[in-house]
Amino acid sequence: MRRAAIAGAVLVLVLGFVFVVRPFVSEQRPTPASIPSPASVTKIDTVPLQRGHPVCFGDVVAEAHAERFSFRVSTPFGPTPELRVRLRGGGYDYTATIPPGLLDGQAAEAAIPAPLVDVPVEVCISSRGEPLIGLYAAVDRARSRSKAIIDGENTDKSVWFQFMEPRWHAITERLALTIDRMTVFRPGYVGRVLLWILAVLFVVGTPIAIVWAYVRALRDDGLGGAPPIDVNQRRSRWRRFVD
Amino acid sequence: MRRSRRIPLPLLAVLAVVLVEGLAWTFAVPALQGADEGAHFSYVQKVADAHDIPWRDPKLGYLEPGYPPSVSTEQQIAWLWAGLEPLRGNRAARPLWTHEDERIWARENAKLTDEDRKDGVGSRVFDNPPLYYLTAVVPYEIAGGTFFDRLYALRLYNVALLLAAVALTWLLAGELFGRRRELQTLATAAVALHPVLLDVATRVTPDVLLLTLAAAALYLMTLVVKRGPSWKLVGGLLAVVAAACFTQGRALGLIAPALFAIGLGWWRSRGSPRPGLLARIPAVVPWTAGAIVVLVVLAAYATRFDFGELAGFWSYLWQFYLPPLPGMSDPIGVSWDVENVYLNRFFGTFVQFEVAFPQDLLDAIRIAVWLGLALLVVSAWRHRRVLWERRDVVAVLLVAFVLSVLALHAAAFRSLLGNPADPVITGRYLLMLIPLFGLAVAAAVAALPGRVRGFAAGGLLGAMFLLQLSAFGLVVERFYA
Repeated sequence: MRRAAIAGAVLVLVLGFVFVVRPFVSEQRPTPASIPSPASVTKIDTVPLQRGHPVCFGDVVAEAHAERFSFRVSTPFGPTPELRVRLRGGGYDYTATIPPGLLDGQAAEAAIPAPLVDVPVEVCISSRGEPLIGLYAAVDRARSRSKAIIDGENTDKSVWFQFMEPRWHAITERLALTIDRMTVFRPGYVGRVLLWILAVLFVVGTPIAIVWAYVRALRDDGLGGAPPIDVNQRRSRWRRFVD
Repeated sequence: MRRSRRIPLPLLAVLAVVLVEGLAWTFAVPALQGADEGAHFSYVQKVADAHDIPWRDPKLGYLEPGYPPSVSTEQQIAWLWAGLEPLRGNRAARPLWTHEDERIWARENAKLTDEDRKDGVGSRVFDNPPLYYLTAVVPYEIAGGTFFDRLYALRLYNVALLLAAVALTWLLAGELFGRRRELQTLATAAVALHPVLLDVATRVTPDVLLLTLAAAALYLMTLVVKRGPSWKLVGGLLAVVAAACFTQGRALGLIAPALFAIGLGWWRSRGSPRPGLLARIPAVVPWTAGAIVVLVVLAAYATRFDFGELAGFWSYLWQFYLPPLPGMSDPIGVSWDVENVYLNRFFGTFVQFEVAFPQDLLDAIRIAVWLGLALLVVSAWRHRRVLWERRDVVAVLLVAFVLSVLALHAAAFRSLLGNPADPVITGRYLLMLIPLFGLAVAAAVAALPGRVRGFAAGGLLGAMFLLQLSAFGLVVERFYA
C-alpha cells in the first residue's frame, strides 16, 4: 500500500509538473521593469499636454532593466504631434523622441538606454506641435506618488507610465530577480537567502514531506507491509489488485 | 529525540509543510494586499499606539476602508509612497520593487511623529469584536520598527495560529477516526494544502484566530460527547466559544452546536434510556424544544424579528442550493449561489479576488468535489458499524456544520434585507469549518479498499500540492511577472 501511495503521488506530480507547472513557468510574457504609475481601477482621466507646457512628474524609479517606457495618449482632435520625453536624475539624462501620428488611445512608446543601476528620475513629456492632446491619468486609488505637474501646478493626477524590458521573459528566467524584488518593503530579515531556501523547500520539500507523512502514517498504522496471502485461496483479478 | 516521539512524525511533517507554505505566502505577497488588511492593521494600531479599543466606540466614525482618513497617517504614507494602494486589486499595477523606492518612502516616513500612528478614524472593521486585535498587539509591540516590520510580524503571528489550527485538525480527526494515523494525516494534509486557506491566513485578519478557535471548539465538542461533560471540558468549550465570539461575530453560529454537544454528552453520561415510551418522552421533549428554540432564534435574527420575511428567507435558502420550485419568486439580492461560495470562492480566488483559478481548473475541482461526496456516501455505508459506534461524534460534527452554515445564511439574509447588492456570504467564511473539510476528504478516501486507497490517496496529495503550488504561482505571477 505504501508503494501504491508513492506511485500515485509520483504519477500525479510528474503529470502536473510536465503539463501544468512547466508550461506556466516557461511561457514568455511581457515583462515590466517597473510601473511607477499604474492604470486606473475605476476612473480614467487625462492630463492636458500642449506645446510649451510640458507635463512633469518626479519620484519615478527607472529600474536597471528598463529599456522602453510607455504611456497612453488621448487625441480627440487628431493624431499626435512629435513628443519628447526627458528622463533626468541621479546622473541619468536622456531625451527620447516619439514620432507624430499616434491615434486616440494608442500607447506612446520609445526605447531608452538602460540605467546602470535603479535610478530615481523626473519625467517631463513635452509636445512639439498641435493639437492639444491628453495623457491618460489616474485620479482614483490607483493615483501614485508621482503627480503630474504643469507649469508648477500640481494636477493631483498621475500619468499612467511604465518601464518595460525590451523582450518577453519566462518566469524561470526572472526567478533570481523576482526573489530580489520580494525583499523590498519587507522586514530586514527577509533577504535573498531566506527566500531562496523557502522557494526550494516549497517546490521540492513540500511534496516530499506530505507524501512521506502519509507513507509514515501507513507504517504507524501497520498498513505498510504486504498482507499475508493464502496462496490456496482463489482470488479474482480485482481482489488481487486491491489486496 | 524524546520530544519528537511525543508528537507523531506525520503531524510534524505536515506542520513543517504549513510553516514553509505560510512563510512563502507571507513574504511573497506585498503588504496590505489582503481583503481589508489595511483596516485590520489599523485596528491593531489603534489598540497598540492610541491605547484605544475602538469596538462599539460611538465617538469613532465609520469610513470606507479605502478612504484615507480611515487609517493612520503612517499607513496613508505607506499607501502612497510605497505604492500599496495603487497596487490593491489592480492587475495593471506591480509593486514598487526597487530599493530606491524604499528610500523614497523612508524619506517621507521619516517626517512622521508618534501622533501619526494614532490618528486613523476607523472603518466598519472597527465593528469587529476585539480579541484578535488585542492578542495581535503582542507581536506588533515585539516587532516595533517600521510599518513593514510590524505588519509582517502580524502576518507571522497568523502563521503561528494556522499551525495551531492544523494541529487541532489532527486531534479532531483522531477523535473521529479512532487515532488512525493514515486518515488523520489525510485530513490534516487536506487542510494544510488548501490554497485559499493559505492565502487568507497569511494576511492580517481575525479570520485565522476565528478558525483556530473554531477548530478547538469542534475538538472539545467531540471530547465532551465521548468522555462526558466534565466541568473542565465544558468550561473549556464554553471559554473557547466565547473567545471565538469575541473574535468575529460569525462564531455565534458555534453556540448552538456547543450547547448541543454538552446536552448530548450529559444525556449520554446518564446511561442509555430505558426502553418504553414513557422513559423516552423526557429525552425527546428537551431535544425537540431545543431544536425549535434554535430555529426560532435563527429565523428571528435572519428576518430582523419581522416574521413576515420568513417565506423570503426559506426561498433564499432553497434557491441558494437548489433550482426554484414552481411558484417561487426570485430570491432577494444579486445572483449568488452555492457555486460562487462553495467552489469559486472556497477554492479558487486569491488576494483581492483579482487572481482566480482558470475556469477549466474550477470545473475539474467541481468534478472532484462531486466524486468526493459520492465516495463519502459509499464510505459511510462501508463503515456503517464504526460510524454507528461513533454516532455521537458524527452527530455533533454534522450539527456543527449545519448550524454554522445556517447561521451564516441567516446573517447574510439579514444583511441583504438592508443592502440587497452585497451577498455577504463568501467562501472565506467557510474556512471557519475547514477541519470538517479535511475530515470529509479523509472519510471519502476511506471508502476505497487496500492498495487502491493508497494509490488514490497518494494521487490526491499530489493533486492538492499542485493546487497549492498553482495558487501560489498565480499570485506570484500577478505581482512579479
